[in-house]
Amino acid sequence: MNARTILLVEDNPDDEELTLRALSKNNIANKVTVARDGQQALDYFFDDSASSRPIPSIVLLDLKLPKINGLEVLRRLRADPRTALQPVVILTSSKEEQDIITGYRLGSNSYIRKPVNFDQFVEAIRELGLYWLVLNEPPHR
Amino acid sequence: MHNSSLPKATFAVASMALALTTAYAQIDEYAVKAAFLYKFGLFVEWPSSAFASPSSPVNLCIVGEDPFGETLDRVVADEQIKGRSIVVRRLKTVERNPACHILYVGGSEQQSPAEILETVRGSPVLTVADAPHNKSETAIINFVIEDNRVRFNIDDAAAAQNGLAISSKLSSLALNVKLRATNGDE
Amino acid sequence: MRKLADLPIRTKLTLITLLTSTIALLLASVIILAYDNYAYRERKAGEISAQARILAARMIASLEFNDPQSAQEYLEPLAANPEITAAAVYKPNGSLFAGYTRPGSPSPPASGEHLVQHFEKNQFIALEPVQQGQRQVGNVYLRATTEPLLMRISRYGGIILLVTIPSLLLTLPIAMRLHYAIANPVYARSLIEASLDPLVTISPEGIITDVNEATIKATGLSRESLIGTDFSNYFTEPEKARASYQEVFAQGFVTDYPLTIRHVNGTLTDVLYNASLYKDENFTVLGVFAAARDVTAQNKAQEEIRNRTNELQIANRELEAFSYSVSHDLRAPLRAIDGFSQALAEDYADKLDDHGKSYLNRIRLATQRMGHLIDDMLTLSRVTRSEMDHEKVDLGTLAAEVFEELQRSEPGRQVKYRIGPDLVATGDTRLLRQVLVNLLGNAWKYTAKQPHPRIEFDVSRNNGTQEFFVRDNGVGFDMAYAEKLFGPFQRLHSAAEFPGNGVGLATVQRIIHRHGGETRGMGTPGQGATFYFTLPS
Repeated sequence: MNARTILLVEDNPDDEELTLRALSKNNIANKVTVARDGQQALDYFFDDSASSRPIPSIVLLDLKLPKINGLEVLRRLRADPRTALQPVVILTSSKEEQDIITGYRLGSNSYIRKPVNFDQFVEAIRELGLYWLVLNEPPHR
Repeated sequence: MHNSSLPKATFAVASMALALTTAYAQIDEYAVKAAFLYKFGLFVEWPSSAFASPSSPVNLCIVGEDPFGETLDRVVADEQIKGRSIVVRRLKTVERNPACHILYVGGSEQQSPAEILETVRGSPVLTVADAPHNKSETAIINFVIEDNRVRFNIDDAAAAQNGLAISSKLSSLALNVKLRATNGDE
Repeated sequence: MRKLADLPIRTKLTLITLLTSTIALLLASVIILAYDNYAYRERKAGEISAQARILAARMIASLEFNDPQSAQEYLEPLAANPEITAAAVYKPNGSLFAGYTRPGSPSPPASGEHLVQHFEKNQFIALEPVQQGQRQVGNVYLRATTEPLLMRISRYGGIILLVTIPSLLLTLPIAMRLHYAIANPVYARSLIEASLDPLVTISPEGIITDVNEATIKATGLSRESLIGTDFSNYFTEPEKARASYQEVFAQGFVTDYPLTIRHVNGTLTDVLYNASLYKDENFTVLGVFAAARDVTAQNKAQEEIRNRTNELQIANRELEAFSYSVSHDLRAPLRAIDGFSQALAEDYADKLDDHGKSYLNRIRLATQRMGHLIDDMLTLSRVTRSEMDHEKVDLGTLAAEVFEELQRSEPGRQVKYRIGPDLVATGDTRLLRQVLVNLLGNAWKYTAKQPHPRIEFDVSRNNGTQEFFVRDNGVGFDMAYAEKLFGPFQRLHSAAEFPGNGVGLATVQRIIHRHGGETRGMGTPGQGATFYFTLPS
């Protein structure tokens, strides 16, 4: 279990805090790395020391991000052979149809809207963690 | 011819006043009659058998006593009847079917007017005579003197007997016309 | 009195017809009279000469045998002919042979010499020689009165009037009927002139052969200076203008060919040219008939529409960006408020008394209501903005799905529902689904306090229209407020009684209106409500 890590791409410190809280409330103790904008998220995979970093089992990607927005991050991940198969779940506030469609079209593995109700949010994170960190087999590289 | 006119002239000279007018009248009378004589021919149709050919002349015969003398010759000299010239013949007597188309009945001792008329009856001859002494001895056309003018009577029945047709134009000038039995002119 | 030029064309034509007819009839009458007079004189001369010849024939014998009395007799019967006023027979030497004078008339001339046959004033003198073979034996003179010309004209005048007047009366209606045909080209011309579109005819060489008033206005040039000049001269693009009529000769017509007319004062008129060949009765091409439609105003309007559409698109994009922001940015703080309230309640439970805990709970309820409100407002705005499909939609199946969802959301509730058969409409599936979600959701919600809740979805059909309805036996409403039902943010119940924000029915109405249908609600307090909507079938 510990081998599996999470990359949380989230610019809002409140959401970051709440997400981490939700994870911990669900007893998900996997390592979580936070990228606070799109550039940082890409750097995690592609900068000079990227090879020294663990490959995350799941990327939780917000869409409204400074510098490079979430959808563009997704596009670039899918465009690079190294990250083309990287599991990515969009975790965002909006459920604009356009975002959902574009997200899937760009190769998102899932699309989850953050509920306003924290209880529901905790439940969502629980299911998400259970699925991607336990049930799902990530692609071997 | 000269001889025959002489007695009348002598008679005229004999009785003065009357003689003058009478002599004048007589000369005038026969000059008129001479003109009439041939002009009758203008209004009469002869049968075609009366002429030998279309160019044969019309023979104007004076039988017996000739009262016209050379006046007649002068009058007819340049005249024609329907394209035919006129030849004056003076005869003592006539036979049946004489070579005459117009025949003036003068009469003589040898052949009286009655005899002449009787001889040519039935022949295509237009007989002309002075007023008859005897009513039975009439020619087809008979001269009469009326109102001191020369007039004539026509016996159309006699004309019919001789096979002649007399124009109504002529008939209308006649004093009296004895109509032919058929009650027609032609 | 009106001048002749001011008279209407029909009156002019009638006058012209009547005038020419009258002149023609009068001329014909004069010719007939003249001819009649000539014929009359010829006839008279012939008659009198014939009579003279008859007399002459009769006179032959009278003259030959110098019988004036018979001649006189022949003349007397002339009394029977009143026309003959005198007659005479002369001998060749000219002396009078016989004579006749009608009582009251002058005697015939005493001498027959130097007489000639002739007409003189109202009388005719006939002279006929009396021939015997080649020989002339006399002359016949006849004098006859002739009818005076004026008397004949006056006699004929009546006949002419009798002929002329009916002829004119006959001419008049014929003329009237023919005038329409005669006036037609004039009428056609007036139509051409009345056209507000510039109309021109162009010869095969491209030379203008005729123009109407509108062309004069569009170019500012006189008819005389336009006719005979090159058609393409009057456009901003002469080459294009030339190509236009060449195209007409090539294919017989052009439609909506855009050109710009240049007025002499520099004003430009955008036109669309429609032109075709025109031919004579033998189908020989005479030229091109071209009609220009001034589209300056249209172009302006189109420009305006383009601008407006642009502005609208910009506004829409802004609105979309706004909604997007709302969707993301408004919800994030709410989530934070809710989340941290929860964290506070959990982590500091021991430091908060029950009052404090209840405040936190109220904070959380408020944030959740606001979250719903944001969602509903976004839905409402999306309903207006989104593209619409037009497809067959099985509303019955959709309703069943919505009921299942409702049941899942509140598994504890027991609601009886009935969905009618054949509930098919044309529209956008996603939007109509939203309608059912809202209406069935409302019914679901407002029957919550009903011990035996019942919801019905069906259709009533009459006169070819179908009206769908959702009926419940819930709390209902007072019809006095019926008109408020569909207004956004209008509520008939307090949020404490029933949750809601008043956007649901507004969304329903907006979707139904976008489909061309209508909505209405019927209700009685305590006895339930029915919401109707129509859709094109």
